Amino acid sequence: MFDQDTLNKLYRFSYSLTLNDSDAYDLLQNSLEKFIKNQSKKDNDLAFMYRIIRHQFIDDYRKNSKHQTLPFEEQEYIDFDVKTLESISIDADLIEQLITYLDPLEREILFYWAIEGYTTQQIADMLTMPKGTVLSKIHRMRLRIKQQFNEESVQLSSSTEGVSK
Amino acid sequence: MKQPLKNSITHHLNNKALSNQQLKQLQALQVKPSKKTYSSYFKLATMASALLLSFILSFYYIQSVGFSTLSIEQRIAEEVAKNHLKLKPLEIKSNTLQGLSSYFKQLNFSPVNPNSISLSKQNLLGGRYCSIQGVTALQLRMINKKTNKVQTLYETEYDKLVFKHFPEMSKSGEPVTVYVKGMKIDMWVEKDILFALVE
Repeated sequence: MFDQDTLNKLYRFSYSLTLNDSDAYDLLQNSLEKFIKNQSKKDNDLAFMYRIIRHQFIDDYRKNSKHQTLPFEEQEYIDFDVKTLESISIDADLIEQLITYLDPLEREILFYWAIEGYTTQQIADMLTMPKGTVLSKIHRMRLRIKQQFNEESVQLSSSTEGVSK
Repeated sequence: MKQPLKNSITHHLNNKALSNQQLKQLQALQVKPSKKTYSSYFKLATMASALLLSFILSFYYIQSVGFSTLSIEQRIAEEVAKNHLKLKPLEIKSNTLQGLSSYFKQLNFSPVNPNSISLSKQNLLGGRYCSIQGVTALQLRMINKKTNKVQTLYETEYDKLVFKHFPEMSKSGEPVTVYVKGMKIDMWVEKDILFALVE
């Protein structure tokens, strides 16, 4: 059984995907019902619940076009670590605008990085995709942020930018 | 003022929280048993109910059949003695077996005059339907002219499933005699009919 703090964390995860309060609650509720039905199958409840929410969100997305389109990108392998995101500073007033600008998968990556403190490999495991694909997405996300917001709003520190091997 | 992206995201998302009502709903959802659990409980309850029902039915069946250690002779004697004492009203009155036979048409056998008793010597009063150990029977009431006492003669088909192990007169030579509440009950099988005479 999830306590209040965990439920709120799951709700924030749902929100980071849907960007809508009521949709986030519906997503969490539907996912929780699925979780309860399959509770005995997994040991790591929280990770299992994240996956259920993610799959439920994708299912909902396919059924309902009101969510923004998930872009399909050909990925080239670029060895950027998730820590390169730490080089980004943003004007506090623009964070909502930035989150809205990103696609759900990018927001999911940010959630795991910022809220859960996952490493690139852990994020790749959660997303069930190769680590290289995750790195590529991080790199692309960084570029998109740089292109979308001017230097006054967003600062990408050059000290931590670059290849992290 | 610029802040690290991580801090900004954390701060932004931490502002999002479930309302108290939503929290209660989600917590209640977790407390409710899953369908699987409910189904298991339901199956268990059904099985327990079925078991209890079969136990009750078995109990009543055993009671109705009269489960006991008494022999078949003793059980028949107890039953006919009890009937004899009640002296229920006669359904047909006649002093001849022929006259009575015309009434007993719902039997699976024909009323007969046993060799060991000459009904012509008795003062036949009449008869009525009854049953012995659940098998349809007839009873003939008469007055023993020697003792001037009321006698009841029971006749029923000799159902070997019900009356198994009952000794036939032709083999034992003498009727089986059992005393119940001071009454003498003679029982025997003759012409594939089971007889019981109570006085």
